Amino acid sequence: MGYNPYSLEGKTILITGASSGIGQATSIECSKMGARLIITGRNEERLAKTLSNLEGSGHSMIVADLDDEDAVTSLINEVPILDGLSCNAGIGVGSKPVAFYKKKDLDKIFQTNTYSATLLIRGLLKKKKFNTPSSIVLTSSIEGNSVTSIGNGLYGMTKAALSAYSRTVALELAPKGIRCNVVTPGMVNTPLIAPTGDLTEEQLKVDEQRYPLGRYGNPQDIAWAIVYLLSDASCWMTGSTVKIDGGISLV
Amino acid sequence: MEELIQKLADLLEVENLDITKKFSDYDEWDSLAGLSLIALLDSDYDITMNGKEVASFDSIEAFCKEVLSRKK
Repeated sequence: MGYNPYSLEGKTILITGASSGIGQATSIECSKMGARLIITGRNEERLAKTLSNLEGSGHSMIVADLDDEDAVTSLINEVPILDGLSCNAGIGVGSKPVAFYKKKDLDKIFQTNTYSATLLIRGLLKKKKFNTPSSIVLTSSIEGNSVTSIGNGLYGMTKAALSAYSRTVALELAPKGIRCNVVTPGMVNTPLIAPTGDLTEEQLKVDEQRYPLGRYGNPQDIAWAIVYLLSDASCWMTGSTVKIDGGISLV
Repeated sequence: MEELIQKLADLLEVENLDITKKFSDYDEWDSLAGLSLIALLDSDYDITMNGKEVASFDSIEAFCKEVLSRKK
């Protein structure tokens, strides 16, 4: 590839949430940068579609629901030694003010957005699946970290927790040569933000106009930052947050 | 109907709710009130309604009648 510090050649990387959105775009961009990928997600059909769009060879896919303990154990046993991990599995939930939170709402969103990444990392560490050096990137959000939106507290909590966790990972695993950073995206055009009952298409369009750079993000915009964080170019960076939000947190 | 009207009055933090008015006639009606109302419909009446629908009623009374007709 000539001189390219952002290259991922020779790296084996596991990407979760790869069936759609940011995980999917990240998988494709990593493959273009020369990585060998193991992609995972819940939806077999969409995961296979991601796999077919990867460049290069030697890639594989593992269908797994990260909320399923047995599936996670199986996944951890199956993967080879990793040079990188990109955790993108995440869900949004409908708007809900704090006066209406239920424990089951908390359990559900924390499980998918926060617990699954932390338990996956725990399992990989126990099975010594991280190379020295290696890089972990967690996909957090500006919500809960840089901005606060009415009705979005459940989501924000899980993302703030992820960000705090990533800093602990960075500190504790530095001696092992394992780096850990997060990306905090603004609103990105993925199924997670798709018009639901409470936010209509018009409302999303109005919101999009508020962005200083004039638009919502595209999954690739985030993927490219994840590529940087997985690459040797970021070898002195750990415990950091890369905010990619079209400037919205400035207004 | 009484119970629902009382819940709405509590939500808007007003003493007496004039059900001939619209929600938007009240100063207290803002986006947070709107979201709280939707959450209330879900938790107390098991009904799903979005913001657009809530805003479409000519009066709070019309809204209440619709909610009660859908109540399971």
